[in-house]
Amino acid sequence: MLEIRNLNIEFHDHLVPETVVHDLNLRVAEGEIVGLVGESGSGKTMTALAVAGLLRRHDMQKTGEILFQEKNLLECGRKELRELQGSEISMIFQEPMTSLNPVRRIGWQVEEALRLHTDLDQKKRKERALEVLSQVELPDVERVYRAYPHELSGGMRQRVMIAAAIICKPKLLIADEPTTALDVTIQAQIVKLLLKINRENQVAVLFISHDLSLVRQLCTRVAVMQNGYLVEEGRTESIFMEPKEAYTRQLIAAIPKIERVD
Amino acid sequence: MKYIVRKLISFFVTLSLVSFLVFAAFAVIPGDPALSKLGTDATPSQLAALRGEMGLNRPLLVRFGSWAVSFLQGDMGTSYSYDRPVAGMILDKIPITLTLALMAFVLTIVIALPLGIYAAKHEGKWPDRLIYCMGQVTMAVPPFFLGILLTFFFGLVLRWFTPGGYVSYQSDFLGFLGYLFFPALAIALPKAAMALKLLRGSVIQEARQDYVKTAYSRGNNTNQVLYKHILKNALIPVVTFLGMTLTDMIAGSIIVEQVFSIPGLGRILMTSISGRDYPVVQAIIVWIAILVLVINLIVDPIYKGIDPRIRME
Amino acid sequence: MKKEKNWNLIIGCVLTGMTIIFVLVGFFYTPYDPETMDVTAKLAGVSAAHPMGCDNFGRDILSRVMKGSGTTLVVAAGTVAIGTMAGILIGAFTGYYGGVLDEVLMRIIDALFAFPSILLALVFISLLGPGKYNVIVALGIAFIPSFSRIVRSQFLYQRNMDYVSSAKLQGASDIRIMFVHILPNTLSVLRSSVMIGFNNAVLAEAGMSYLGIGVQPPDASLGRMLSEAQSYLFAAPGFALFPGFVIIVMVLGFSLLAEGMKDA
Repeated sequence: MLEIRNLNIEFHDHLVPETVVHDLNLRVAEGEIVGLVGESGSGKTMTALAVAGLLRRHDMQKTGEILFQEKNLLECGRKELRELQGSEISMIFQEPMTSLNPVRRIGWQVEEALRLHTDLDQKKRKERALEVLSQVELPDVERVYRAYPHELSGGMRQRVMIAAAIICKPKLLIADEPTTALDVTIQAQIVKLLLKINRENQVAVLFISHDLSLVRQLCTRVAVMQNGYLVEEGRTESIFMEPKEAYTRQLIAAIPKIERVD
Repeated sequence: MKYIVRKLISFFVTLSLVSFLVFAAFAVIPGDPALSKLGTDATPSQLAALRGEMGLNRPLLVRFGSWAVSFLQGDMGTSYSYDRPVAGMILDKIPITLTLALMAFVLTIVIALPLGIYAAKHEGKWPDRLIYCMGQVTMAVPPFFLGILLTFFFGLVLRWFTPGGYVSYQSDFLGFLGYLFFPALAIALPKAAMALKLLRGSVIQEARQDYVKTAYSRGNNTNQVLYKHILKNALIPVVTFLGMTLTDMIAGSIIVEQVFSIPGLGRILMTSISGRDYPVVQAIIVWIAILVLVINLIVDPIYKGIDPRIRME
Repeated sequence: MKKEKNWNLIIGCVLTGMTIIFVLVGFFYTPYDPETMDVTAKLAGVSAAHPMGCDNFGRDILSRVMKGSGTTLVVAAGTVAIGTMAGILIGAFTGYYGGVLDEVLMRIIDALFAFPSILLALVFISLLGPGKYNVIVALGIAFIPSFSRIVRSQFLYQRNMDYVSSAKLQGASDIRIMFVHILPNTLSVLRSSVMIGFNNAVLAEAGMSYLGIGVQPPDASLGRMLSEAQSYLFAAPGFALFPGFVIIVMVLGFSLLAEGMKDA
């Protein structure tokens, strides 16, 4: 469903052009959860933003292909891309505290994708919004619907972000370090929630993280990135059992102690 | 409701405090109102009688109390210079100054909002730089000099209006508003320059926030992100600034009224200050205090409406 | 990243430098005596003899503008001095000690702060009467509330910092902590508000003198010149334009300088 071929991302905002992603190849099948891991600066977030169509700056250059349902996202027009964003491809971010608009009600923000991509009326939109808010296991959804972001905790906000992302039943959910800013118990809950959403909605997840223990709990396949290069890729268990690259071994060795949550 | 009650209490406390400070200030100045009323050839017994009649022998707080009660009843004292009730002299002037200030306020918003957004959208390009340079210069122009420039250019050179040709609001309201346009512009331009600079900076800063990325990821286009997401956030500091500006507009009106010969509060205030006509000065200052406090009372809930993070306690 | 030139600072320095030289020269030398009237030169236009022309009494405008800008700068400096000193004292004590004194003083300051400072100055001028020194006092007092608030919030913030606690442990007195330890740390914030205050003082002085309740003759004043010039706007536009432009250059130079120092 998603196929990245020979992706290069190059920045021109400094005197010397800087390539942050080199010849990346990656596939995500329908309904699959793929982990993209690496240290900060390895190019994983850039890859995610490129797939989400959020790297549209004049001071950079992207070559290669990002095929989403046979359509090359790097070549399609802005309007065409916007029609996919929020309806077919959606994204959640690292900082739930700042990723929601502080002066808009939760309901308004969760419904936004429906307003942009469907003709549903206000009543239908609210119905659907309450439905996804309960799907992400938020309590007292009517109250949450009317609340402002500052009235919710970080974990609740990340649930709201997930609800807003899945309201149009997208095919692909990109999760960029969605648990990094949360504390450990909440992290586990969010990971469980992503698994549940993946099964219930048949949505593929591209899970970007530096935390291999989370990746191991969640993903069927893993891709490891270092300095803009894809160094290793394969099924989660085989990567963890017999890593081929020295770098991957280092990353695995750096995991404190794995505890299974479910 | 608790919030409204608290605000009203604070309104009356501040108003009493300010009127008392004004009253006390005018009570301690050297010079005897009885003497200045009767002249230097009055006999001591005449003076003493008049002092008693004017209530000057009573303690300050008692005098303030009786003054405040009569003020509330509409009796604002008698002018020394004209020997007329102060209320009659100033009440019909208040709408003039207030209209001028409000008009200047509206013009400030009408100028600052579109230009600020436009400059932010074209950050670093030449329209932005041009607006920046013009704004910096405009901020440095005193409003009364701007008034003189407008009079010179639009009044004398282009003849779009007659300088000094004030139209009273009782006779021709539209003509009155028309005459106030250039005075209001003179007050508004420097404030608009400040507001637009603030708005531009605020929009640019908000555009870097994380929620903007979220908005794009849902398929909003640039204008939708700007008007539905960024603008409401970016307006928060601007609204605070505008709230403070509204009271400045009243001060600005008082000066600019002189440039355009508008018979508002400013005109009487100036003649009474030069003529040391204290009852009039005192009444006008208290009236301006009331206007300023009422403005603050109205503006406060607006901040809360625009920024949900401020709690209505 | 290429570093752009700090144009605000450069232009601000040039304009402010020019103003200061203009004013300093004016203290010692003016082309004509600013008070000498020349009936033959009434409302004379711009010429080599009178670079800015002459006013309705035939006085040389350039000489009067030089003297007038001197008065304006002196008034503004005096105003800012009074406002800053009193503001630092009030702000330091209320911010550092807090308590009842703080509550009462801040209640009054807040009430006064709601008023545009020029209105407060008008109240004081009507009590004191017009004149150069009274304008300084009136504007100075009018500026105290805003300075006190800024200083107070800085002291409130700084008094809980570690360096204050360590100074206390070493046995420094409160006065020493306030003025030797805390005050220097508030200077960068104070600097920009002093510069903004200076500009506001220039504008306020010009406004009051224009209204006729500020600086009185024989002191020359830009505001007063403007009010005199208004009747001759059509016959001699330069009479109003030159003093006005000098005010603009003065304020613009200073605000660009303040802006440039912020970026530097």
